[in-house]
Amino acid sequence: MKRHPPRILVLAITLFTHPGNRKTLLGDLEEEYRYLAQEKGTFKADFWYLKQFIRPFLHFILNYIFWSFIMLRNYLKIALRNIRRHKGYHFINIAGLAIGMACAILILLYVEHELSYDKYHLDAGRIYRIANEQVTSNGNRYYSAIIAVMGPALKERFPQVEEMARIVRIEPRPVSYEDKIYMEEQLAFVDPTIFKMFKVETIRGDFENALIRPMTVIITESLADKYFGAVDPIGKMLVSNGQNFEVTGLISDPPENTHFKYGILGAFSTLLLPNPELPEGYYQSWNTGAHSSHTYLKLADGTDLNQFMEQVNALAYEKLKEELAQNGYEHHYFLQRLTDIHLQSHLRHELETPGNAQSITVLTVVGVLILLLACINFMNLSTARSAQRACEVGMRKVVGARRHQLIAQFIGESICMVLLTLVFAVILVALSIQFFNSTLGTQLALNTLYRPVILFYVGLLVIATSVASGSYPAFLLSSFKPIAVLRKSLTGGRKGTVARKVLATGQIAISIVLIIGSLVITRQISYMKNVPLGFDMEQKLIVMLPDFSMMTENYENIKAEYLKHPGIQGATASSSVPGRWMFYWRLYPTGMRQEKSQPLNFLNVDYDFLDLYKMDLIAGRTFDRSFGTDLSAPGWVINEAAVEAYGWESPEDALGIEMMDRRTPIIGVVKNFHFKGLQNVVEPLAMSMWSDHFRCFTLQVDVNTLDAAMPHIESVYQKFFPGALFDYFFLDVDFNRHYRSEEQIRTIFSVFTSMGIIIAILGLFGLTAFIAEQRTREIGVRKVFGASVSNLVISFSKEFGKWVLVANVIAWPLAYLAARQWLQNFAYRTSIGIDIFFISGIVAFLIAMFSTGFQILKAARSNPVDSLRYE
Amino acid sequence: MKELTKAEELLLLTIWRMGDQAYGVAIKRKIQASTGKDMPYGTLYFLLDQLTAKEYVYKIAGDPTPERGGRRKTFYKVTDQGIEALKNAADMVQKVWGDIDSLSFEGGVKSS
Repeated sequence: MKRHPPRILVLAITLFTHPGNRKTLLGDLEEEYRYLAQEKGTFKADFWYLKQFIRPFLHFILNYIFWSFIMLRNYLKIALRNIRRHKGYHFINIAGLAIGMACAILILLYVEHELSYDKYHLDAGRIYRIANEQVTSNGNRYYSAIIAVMGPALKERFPQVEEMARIVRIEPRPVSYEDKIYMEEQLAFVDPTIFKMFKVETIRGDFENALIRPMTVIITESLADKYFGAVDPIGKMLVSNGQNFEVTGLISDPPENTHFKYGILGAFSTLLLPNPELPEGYYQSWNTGAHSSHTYLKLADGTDLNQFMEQVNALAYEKLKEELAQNGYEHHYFLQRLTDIHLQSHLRHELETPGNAQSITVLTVVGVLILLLACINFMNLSTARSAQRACEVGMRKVVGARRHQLIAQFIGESICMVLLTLVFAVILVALSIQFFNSTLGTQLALNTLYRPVILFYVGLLVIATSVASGSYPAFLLSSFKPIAVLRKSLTGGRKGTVARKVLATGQIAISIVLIIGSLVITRQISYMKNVPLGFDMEQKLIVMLPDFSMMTENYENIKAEYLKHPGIQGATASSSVPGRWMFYWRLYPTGMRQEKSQPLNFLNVDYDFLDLYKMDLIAGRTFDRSFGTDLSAPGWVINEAAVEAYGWESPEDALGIEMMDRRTPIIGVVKNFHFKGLQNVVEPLAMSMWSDHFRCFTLQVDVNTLDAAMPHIESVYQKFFPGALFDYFFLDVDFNRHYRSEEQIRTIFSVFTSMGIIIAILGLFGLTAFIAEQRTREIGVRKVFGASVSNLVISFSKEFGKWVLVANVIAWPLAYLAARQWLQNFAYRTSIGIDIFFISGIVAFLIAMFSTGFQILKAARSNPVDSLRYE
Repeated sequence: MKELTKAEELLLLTIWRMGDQAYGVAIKRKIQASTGKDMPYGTLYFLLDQLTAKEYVYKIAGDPTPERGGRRKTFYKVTDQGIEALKNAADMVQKVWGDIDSLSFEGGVKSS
């Protein structure tokens, strides 16, 4: 027969009993258990023993819940009464915090989206892109793409490389199916292994053998919809450049958060077919120097990256020895984490304009600042009001509230308030997300709010805010002695006043920083837009030609046709236009390939290009019809930066120097002009005049008569390039795209700044109202002794004025440092004028005056009889 | 003189009557036998603690016994003050009840 009660129950009872009587009680229970076990059996005894434990325990829990409910009802009642009594104050409090939270949540969504790039791929942590660095005497150049043969060589040579895939992005070109023709931008030729590297959702087709045969393509759902509608695209032919591509598969559209956005994926093997436009073996030789392929490697777990890259570089060196000797520069290869590419990689030939790490930093800072503003507000107002609840605390203590109950009450109350605010904030986010998306060009959706990361941060936010705003009343008020509180009634803590002043000053300081920030951004953008670029970009319509080759024979005819129309004042052709991509070419003075070779941006232009673009020639001449040799053996026109890069003393010295193996001379030097955005220094540039490389037609038009000229422009285009897609843009619009991300930042920044200012105004307004109310009697006494309204207003305003002054002193250096940091992103930047600081200081004063003045005036004008009779 | 509640009085009296044998289980049984109601240990020890605090009883640790899993019994004994208190209680009952000859409560009003 069992002699012991169940051990687990013994343990449980031990845990829950008071140590004083524990042993005796356990002894009693065991004795009785044995007695019962003997008389009625073990089962009954066990049951009895269990009952001894359960009964008091249940009793305790039920009691606890019952009394908690009673107390909760009381807390709720008091809280609701409080809200009802101080509607205005609670409105200000909740509105301010809701706006701040909404801003923070939006920014959180955005930042989270930006940071999530390419993390969804399987084994994303082991995937790397291999990129190239060229060390030249003129600085290093970094390429995101490398020569095509490198990838397979690595896969073959190194066992660490589990998987290798290449992507060759090709420039936008028209693609047609039957009578539908569209300009396609997301074209790439890829290795079949792409599916093992990236997570691509397949819909239909044979993906075992996909992209192996040349001239086959896989297209995305939305593309299939565009070209084929309801028809099954598998097996259909897409036409581009006169070639037929067979569609063999259908995949989902790429998600928003990948740096490789695809529309049509072609088989890499297509590139290996003979191609008259390219040198033989372009994609198969080590010596082409063409950075064509974005190469991705999936490395085995635990690969030593440094060691691996050493081996890779050794291999590259061995293979590229000859070319190195010829060109006199070195190649290095390095790895980039797939997940870092979107934000961190800003190399040449990126697959997609990289993300804006800068805007993430700016927005995060702004988000934190605004949230801080809102929280300070919330805390300030909550604490200000809670001083009035000292009486309540005293009363509660008298009737027996324990301190932990009071703490729980206040913290709980502020948690409820913050949660309520959160609801409003989410509504605000839902209302404004559309605006945010259209401004930043993002695709944020509200449902991403449910992601664990976001929920985590929002939860943190709620807890932090409620603890911060609830902790003052919770911990300070609950520590008061009831007698002191009840006797002195309503003096409020002196400590609280100081803290409130500090917080309010901080709030104004944050507003000032935000104002300075948006002023600096605005100024930099208008600087960039108004600085003389060195060429004329007004009223220029650029027509893109479908192909290099189509131009040669017809060029003069096309130009003549265009000029026939009175609305077109000038026409010229070039390989590219300022603001658009130009390719690099290594140029060297004849016979000095090793010593003086420099990579230059290269532009092919027509005779009248420099005239039409109103560029300043500072030495020599431009291309000229009267020199017969300009057509057969065109010389070079370079810019000042190029003169500098070659180390020639002056522009005049450069004239006549013969270049390359053809020995064509430099005939002119043009003043530096900004053919890239002002974020970059003007790079060396060379222009020549090979008419078979023209790609863009520049038409000088008059905006007023453009409507009349447009049909003419298009009909000429269709006449010479039948069936081609008429592709055109305005130069100034196109060029200003460089500043899009800055303008986005400006818009967002100004919106958030306004939000911050609104929050600050709300806060100051609420605080003044509170202070004025607290000092009603003081004002009354002052008036009785003869103070005038203006005296009072001045004496009150002085105090707020002091805060604003201190806030300015704090904010200026901070804002200056931040602005300087941001301006480092630009090669050409505006100065941070002292006026910006004064303007923001004055704005801050006005804000403070505006938000406090009303209350002060109201208090000052009140009748002393009323205020003194108070109570 | 500290007041005794009815339950305390009952308990104190029981302990006194039990003499040397008053410890948890025994007291509980005795009370169950005399009142017909179970007194949970929670109540029992709460009252015992009250009585101890009022110094009407004191504890004596007994020897460890096997049937209690090797734990000691705690015996309770009534102190002099305890006996005094019991006497007072008995006196009071005597005073209140004493001049009623027979238990005839005919004059009672029924509570509605």
